[in-house]
Amino acid sequence: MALILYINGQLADLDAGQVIAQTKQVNDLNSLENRQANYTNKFNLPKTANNVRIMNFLTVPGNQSDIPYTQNSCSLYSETGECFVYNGWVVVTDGGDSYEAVVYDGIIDLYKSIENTTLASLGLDEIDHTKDPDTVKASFTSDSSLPYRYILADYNGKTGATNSILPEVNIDYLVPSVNVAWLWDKIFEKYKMQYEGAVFKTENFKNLWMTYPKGISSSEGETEVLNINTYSFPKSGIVKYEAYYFKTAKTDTYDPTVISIAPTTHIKVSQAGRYRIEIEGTINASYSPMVLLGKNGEQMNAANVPIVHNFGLAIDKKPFKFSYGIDLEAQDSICVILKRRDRDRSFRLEGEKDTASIKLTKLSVNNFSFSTAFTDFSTSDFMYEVVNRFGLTLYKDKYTNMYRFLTLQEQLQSAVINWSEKFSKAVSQNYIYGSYAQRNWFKYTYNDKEAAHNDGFLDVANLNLPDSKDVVKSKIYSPEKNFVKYLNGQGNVYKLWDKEAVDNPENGEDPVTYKPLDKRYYFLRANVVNQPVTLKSTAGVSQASSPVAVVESYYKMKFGDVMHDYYSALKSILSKSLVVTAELWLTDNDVINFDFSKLYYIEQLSGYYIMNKINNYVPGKVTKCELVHVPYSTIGLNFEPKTITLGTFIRYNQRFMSIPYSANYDTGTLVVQSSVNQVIWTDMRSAAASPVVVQVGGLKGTTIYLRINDIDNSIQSSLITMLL
Amino acid sequence: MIHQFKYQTPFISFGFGVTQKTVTAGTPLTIWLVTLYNESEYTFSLTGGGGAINAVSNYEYSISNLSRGTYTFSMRVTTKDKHTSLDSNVLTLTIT
Repeated sequence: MALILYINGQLADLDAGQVIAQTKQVNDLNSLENRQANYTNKFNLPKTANNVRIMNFLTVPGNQSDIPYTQNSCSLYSETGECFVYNGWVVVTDGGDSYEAVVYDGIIDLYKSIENTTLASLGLDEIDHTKDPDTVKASFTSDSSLPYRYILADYNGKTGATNSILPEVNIDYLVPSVNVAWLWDKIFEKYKMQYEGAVFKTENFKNLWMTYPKGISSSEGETEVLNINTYSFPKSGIVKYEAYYFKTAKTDTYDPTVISIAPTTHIKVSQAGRYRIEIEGTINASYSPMVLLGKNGEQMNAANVPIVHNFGLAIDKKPFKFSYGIDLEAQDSICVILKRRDRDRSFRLEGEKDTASIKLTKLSVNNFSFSTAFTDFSTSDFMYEVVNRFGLTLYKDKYTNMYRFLTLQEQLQSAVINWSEKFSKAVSQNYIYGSYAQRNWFKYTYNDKEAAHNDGFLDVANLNLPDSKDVVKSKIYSPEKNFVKYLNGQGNVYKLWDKEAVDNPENGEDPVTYKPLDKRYYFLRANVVNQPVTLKSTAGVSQASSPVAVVESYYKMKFGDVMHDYYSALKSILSKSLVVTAELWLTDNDVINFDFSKLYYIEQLSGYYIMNKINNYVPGKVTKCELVHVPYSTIGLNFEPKTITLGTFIRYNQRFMSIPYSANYDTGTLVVQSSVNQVIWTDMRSAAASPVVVQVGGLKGTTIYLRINDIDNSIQSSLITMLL
Repeated sequence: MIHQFKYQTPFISFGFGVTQKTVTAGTPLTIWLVTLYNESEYTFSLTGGGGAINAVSNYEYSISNLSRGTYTFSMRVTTKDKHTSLDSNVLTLTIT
């Protein structure tokens, strides 16, 4: 039966009777370590004049052909014109008297496209930004279209007063996280491909974020560019002023590459950037004038200079200390002015005891460049992270660049196709499954190499398999084992800084230093809570208030949860694994239109099967197929979500109650928690056994909410509402 | 096993597995279908509440225009042959 082969759009010659055996597969259930493309066995291309020309004279002495080194498209058709392979890849080698070739298709396009690329190549410049309290706040709004968010969490830096009633967060030790779904879209957009799949519409995928991989501190690389310790003020005390410039008497530290003083009142910067100005001193002035920061007011009278910031009042003889962060362009000038508070309060200066100093510091700008930081995370690693986390199989449309992703669970819900009439005979049955062990680990990377607290495993009940194996080693880091108190609740620590204690710190010196870490990619979720927070930048001296906060969550992120949510079907198949190799009578049409995402029923084998692989299909011959048996019904299988269910509670009096509960899974540490606002939860007591008796405190008339929380699994019961 | 997956009970939540929620009027709300179904084989219908339900997808629904009160929501997932309907858990929402 003749075949028709096109290479780079040109019809190639094939020997009469040439057989090209084709193997079709999508996702070998024998192994989780990779996903497979379709391929043909090696076949011969005769060195006819036509084929030599198609190969750009490859093997002809003096040829310059680059065919063996480049992507060569090919399509393979049956003699009736039905398409086996459309726009596949042909890899050509010389086999002596003829060329040898292998054709690949299926998901090969995707993996070849992203080969040797990193996430940085996706063009992430559009989300590069400078961090300040306003950008952090802007990323909090739930309808924000920003693909990045500052998720409040302890990154092991200097967090701020996060556990006060009105928490203050030090944003200098926050990093942004980029939305995984957005990155996923960018990959498919960049490589001109499309995708579909139910999993991409779920909360678990849409609310998945990847942290910026390194800590950047505002205080790093700060440069003091000006330090004036002595300011002169008039000594007469007679003249009344409406406004008066701070005038330099002496310049102690002065970086002429950044600063010029023009003439004694205006500080001009030659470099654009963010600066912090600090002023302190004591001024003898009647009527406590305002201390103001003016900008670009050279040649102007002090009373007319444009004001950009009001520091506060210089109260007579009282020390003051102010600071402020400001963005300046090159050649901008700033000045400090004393100005009367109102028309009736022109002030006098009595310079005898006046002291004042001004310090100007150029801050390292908090630039977050994803396009630079993501250079060490390969696109294929990122795709494997997603594919493995959600237990996905890829199905490529033959004629378009559309990729369909399905979980095994969805595959088992698909329509059943009866292939009994194609059955010839069973060749073998295999009970030991592929490259699995009895315990198959999914592992995170940890800061502590010995840690394993968020790992998970898939057990296969087959004593003939090896003990244990790591099947997935994620490049994503796990948060630390121990929780911390954060925003008055329990929080995970995503280490992006290391803390180091300072020996014998001097007066005013921070007893802890924070050393940034690099190449730490974490996955986490963003939980929007109605918790007002103040966002402060200590280094940049600025702040913003937000009525809501976006707080980290590790909900369903542990690999144990991933196993439960996305690998239950595989676990069940593997627990009584049966792989039947059977010979089937397949036609060209069967192979061309074969759908790996369907279930197949074979009456002679009395069961339902997933097609794992079609081996070496040759038209007109029986084909060996690898079929994985799927039981129709399995007793004791539990796919329900993990839940803690409350029973009917008994209220003994206003404050005491007994709460019975049950859980449909092996729980971790259970505690009863209370809250007055459903945002901040306080641990009340352990709930190790059901029922648990609790005593609730609080003012009469207060509404208290109670729940049982599984700390280890981030699973909560429904709420009990209690009016005291 | 096929049977268990085909006919598993849908689980819906307000996010993070939360099935009861109290919020002030005007707070944006989303209901998520957690259980995965092959979309070629099922249809999905979320009912309840007194406001507007906007289906972003079969797995995500935004809820708006609810006035004060207590509302319940549930979902029905039906096989495309309409032989089987699967009813979800019930969500309770209180608007204050």
